[in-house]
Amino acid sequence: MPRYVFRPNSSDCTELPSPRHDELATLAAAVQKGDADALRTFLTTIVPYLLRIVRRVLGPEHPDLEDVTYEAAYAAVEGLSRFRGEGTVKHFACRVAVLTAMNVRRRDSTAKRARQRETVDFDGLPSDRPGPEQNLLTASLVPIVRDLVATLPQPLAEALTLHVILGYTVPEIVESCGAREETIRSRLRLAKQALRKRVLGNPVLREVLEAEL
Amino acid sequence: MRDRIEDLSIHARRGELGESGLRQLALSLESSREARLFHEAGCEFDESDSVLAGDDAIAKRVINRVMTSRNRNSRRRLRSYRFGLAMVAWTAAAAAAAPLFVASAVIRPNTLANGENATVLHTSKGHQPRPLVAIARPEPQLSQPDMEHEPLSANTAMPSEPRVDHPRARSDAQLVGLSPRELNTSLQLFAEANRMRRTGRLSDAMRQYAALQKEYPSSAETHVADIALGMLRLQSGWADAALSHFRRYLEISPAGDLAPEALWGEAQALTALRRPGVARRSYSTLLRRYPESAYASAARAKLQVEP
Repeated sequence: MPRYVFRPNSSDCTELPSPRHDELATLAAAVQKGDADALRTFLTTIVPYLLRIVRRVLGPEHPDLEDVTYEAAYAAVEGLSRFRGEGTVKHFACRVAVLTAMNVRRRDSTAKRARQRETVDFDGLPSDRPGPEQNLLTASLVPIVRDLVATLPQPLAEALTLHVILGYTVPEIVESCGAREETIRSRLRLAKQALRKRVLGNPVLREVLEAEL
Repeated sequence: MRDRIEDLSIHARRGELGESGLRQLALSLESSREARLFHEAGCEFDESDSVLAGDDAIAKRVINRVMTSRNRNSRRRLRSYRFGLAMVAWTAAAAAAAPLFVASAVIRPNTLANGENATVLHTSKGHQPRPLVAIARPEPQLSQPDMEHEPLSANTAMPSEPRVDHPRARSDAQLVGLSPRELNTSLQLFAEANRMRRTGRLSDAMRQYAALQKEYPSSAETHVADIALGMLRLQSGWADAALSHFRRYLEISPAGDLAPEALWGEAQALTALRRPGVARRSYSTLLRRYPESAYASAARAKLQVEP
């Protein structure tokens, strides 16, 4: 039975305020003026969200969670001067975190491909992370979605991340990315097809999922 | 209806759907395997999301790192801004003085009978000398050995000009004698050397800095390059050479923007040369003059630890 009534934590980043009321706008303006106290307050407000976003995209076992969160927080503060008021400041910071984490995931993926060409097989080294077979046995879609984030074209990966990983509705993605609604729906449709292809291309997962469905 | 499956799914994940909404979503998901996969994946992400025990500590560390980086970068930006302003001023002055510079190619120094320095311009008609007061020549006392500046190299002096021990010892008029092309090229050399240093090509960077100092002894970059070159020489184990670079910077700009770096480098070089007593004096000077600098706490620690 699908889980239709899951209720996320009340402080989750998916609970987005109305665009008309942006509680961080005043704080962000003070940060841009160089107010150190405002900067600390701003960071105290957004960093927990950014940490959770980074963890969702990279996975809780990723060794660079803290560093990536730092990169995201720094980029969000630096990017405030370019923020033109589309959506809320929190939306903006969350999107910066998504893009930062996505880039790390893509970088990891590229590095992994490069390592495969080396003589030493690093993939053969023992790891405490669950392997693909273990993931398949638990029939989890999470690793597949994370893998798609690293391999799909960037606009599709961003739409996939915002919708599936962070739980944004289409209007919220439109507000966050500044793209047209039809464009976002089209990207999500392509991402869905990619996910289906990836799932159906794996016999074990396909079997488990079809039995569940 | 199909277009709204995505939004229904999200509202369901947030627990915002009523009974009819859930029924509508269930019907929609029955008809679309792709939407079902999306919804399932989203639910899995929601379930795995939680606040972990160490999150507060991580958040605090991240906040402190961002605060520190922002402070450090704002100071760097201020220094770069000042440096940029100086470069713009010099370039503008060089451009303004370009016609005079061209004219100076046919000027030769002449000593008047009363002993005062003057410059004369040889005109094309009859080569009759005409005094030109607009161009200042370097004051002779600037090149006196009592400046105690170590010459960069034997080739640093321009062949057609009086020998000057160091670029900053030259007059402003001589500084603006550099053409904009030369300024651009010295900038390019400097930028190239910096790029090499950042990418870890330390030997190449040292060669490039040295070439800059040799070819453009009057440029502002040459002066700044003393610090970079000093640091690189220190890293390479040539503490003696590094010391001379730091000291030269301090002699020319005792209160320059990079004086804290120069003092820190000087102390490090002296320590490497096993002269801890003199090094302590450098640390003390650094602390006294720049108590708020990035090196202050490290210098304080060095003074406390080292005998």
